[in-house]
Amino acid sequence: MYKSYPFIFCVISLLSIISCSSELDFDQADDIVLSPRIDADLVFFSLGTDTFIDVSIPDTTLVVRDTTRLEFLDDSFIRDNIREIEFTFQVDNSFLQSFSNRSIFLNGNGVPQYMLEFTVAPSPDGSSMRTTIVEQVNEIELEAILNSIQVANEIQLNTNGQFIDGVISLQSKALYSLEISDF
Amino acid sequence: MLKWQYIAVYLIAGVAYGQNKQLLYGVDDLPQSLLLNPGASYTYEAYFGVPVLSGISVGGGSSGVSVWDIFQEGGDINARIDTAIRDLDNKDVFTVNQQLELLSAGWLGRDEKTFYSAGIYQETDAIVYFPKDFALLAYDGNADFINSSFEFSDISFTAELISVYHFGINKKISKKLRLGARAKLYMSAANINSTNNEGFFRTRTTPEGPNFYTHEIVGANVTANTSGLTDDFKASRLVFSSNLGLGIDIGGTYDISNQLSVSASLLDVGFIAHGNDVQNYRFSGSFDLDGIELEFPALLAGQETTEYWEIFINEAETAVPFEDELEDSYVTLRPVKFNGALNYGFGTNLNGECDCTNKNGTRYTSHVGLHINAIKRPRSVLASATLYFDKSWWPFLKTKFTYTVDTFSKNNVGLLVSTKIKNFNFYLAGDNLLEYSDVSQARQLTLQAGMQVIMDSKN
Repeated sequence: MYKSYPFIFCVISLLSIISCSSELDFDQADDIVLSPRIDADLVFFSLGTDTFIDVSIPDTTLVVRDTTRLEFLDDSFIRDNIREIEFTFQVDNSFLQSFSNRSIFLNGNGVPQYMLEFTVAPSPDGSSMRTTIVEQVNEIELEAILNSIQVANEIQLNTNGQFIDGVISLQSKALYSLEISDF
Repeated sequence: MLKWQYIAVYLIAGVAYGQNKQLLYGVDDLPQSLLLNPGASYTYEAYFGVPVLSGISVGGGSSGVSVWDIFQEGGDINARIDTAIRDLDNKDVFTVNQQLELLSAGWLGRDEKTFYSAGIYQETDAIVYFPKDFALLAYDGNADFINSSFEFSDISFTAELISVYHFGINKKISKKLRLGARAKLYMSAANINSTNNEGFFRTRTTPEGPNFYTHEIVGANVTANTSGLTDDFKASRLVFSSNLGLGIDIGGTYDISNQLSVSASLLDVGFIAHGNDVQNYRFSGSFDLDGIELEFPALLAGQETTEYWEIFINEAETAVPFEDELEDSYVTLRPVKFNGALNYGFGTNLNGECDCTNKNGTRYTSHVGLHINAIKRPRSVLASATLYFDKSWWPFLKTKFTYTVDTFSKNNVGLLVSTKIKNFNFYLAGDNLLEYSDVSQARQLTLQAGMQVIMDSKN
């Protein structure tokens, strides 16, 4: 009746003997890095002739400006894990004048931390003229952006004494490259 | 780390189809077969299990990736994770199932045609579908998936810790037919689930403006329900919980001839109502975002700057609210299992000239057969087919060899060894034995063991 003991013992022993495992290294969990790239819209607007209220004044410089908070810049997850930002601006301009566009990143007290400025090409004939700007921010600039919590967009127009008529439309987006290693 | 620790990792925290007990199904001298088919044939008059040790079953597995695939020595773990994420799809599952019989007993009725069995067992069951879309979103971001949809339905998981009080009746209806049923009272100690989610997130290009993209959440309806997950979790809920459910198992065996029989069972047709210690989380609605539109109002009307960010947050929270303080009762269905088998017996009739248990029946030393198993899971049915050969070598020793094929494994070889010393029975069963040559690369392991006192008519 006890003849089965050796058999059971043999089965368990065989299982134990034949079973083995390749070497594993669970410490590699510390090396895991997620590198998502988030492509997201930023701000946009479309302004017509009536936006520039002083159109009757010849040869003057007109400036319009608006500000919005971007509170995600102050988020600790973003601050800890962001490695690169690439801004893309696309402006369609049917005015005969060129514009100067400034995107100014401000801290909570309204103090500028980083500014991105570019010229919007004029339309030669009233048709829509497209200007595209791609700006890769460097490490120092990135730190300045992460000190910001709001962005102001400023459009500057010099009438040059010419008649003002047209539409300027701005689109913008940012490509955020993250490296997440602390889980 | 020792190889047994890897096995433990698999069985305790891992991922497998522990609910397919092909090694125990149809083994007529083990009481556990009655839990897999309440209408199964049996060869004993009574049994009672050794408390807590009468039946232990643990299993874990992954349909698409092994521990070795990720944590092998050398190389770049991030490259391996990247490969795994791309190879897996939203039908790949990680499951774990564990059962522990706390009490079990069975006895033959006075009419010698009806067998009663009862007991209590504890069960842990979890299944997580690989959330492919959101794994990609977390790992890669959306930049490479513009105009692709990330489906919320990819988020699908359930996990529960329950105890089951059961009472079963197995009755010989005719010379050829045996039917059985088992009533079950479920007590849920803890539950979490999120299934049948709807909607998607997408970043869509918008050539006509107003901005580069529209980021849209469309028709989101994502819910996670929990019960019993309180800070003061008490194991006593396994003995008595106010989150109760009812269920039934049914099954039968039909002898086509002396040597050929068919059997089938349907298990855990039931539900659990969760009404206490409930917490729900819900994210629902639709929302589009094109970025923040600047209106330059100060210039136009001399007003203060518009609070765009606050407006955006308010609109988003209104359109796609995340509710985390809900306490809505909910019902979960138990994972229904189906078993079906065709069995052919041959060799010596162990009942000899006198068949004292199964009247006028025969009980052969050897059996071969085909066993089909299926379990209903939230997003799919996991099915398997098993060929088996079992043999009673001596009155005190029985073995069963199985070869199982399922969607994810085509080399699952299992072995059951059951021994009986006087009235004391001990069995040990394991499948995927070929995987034991390197358990770190195993995608599925299950082990079952138990001991009980069995009294058959000859004793």
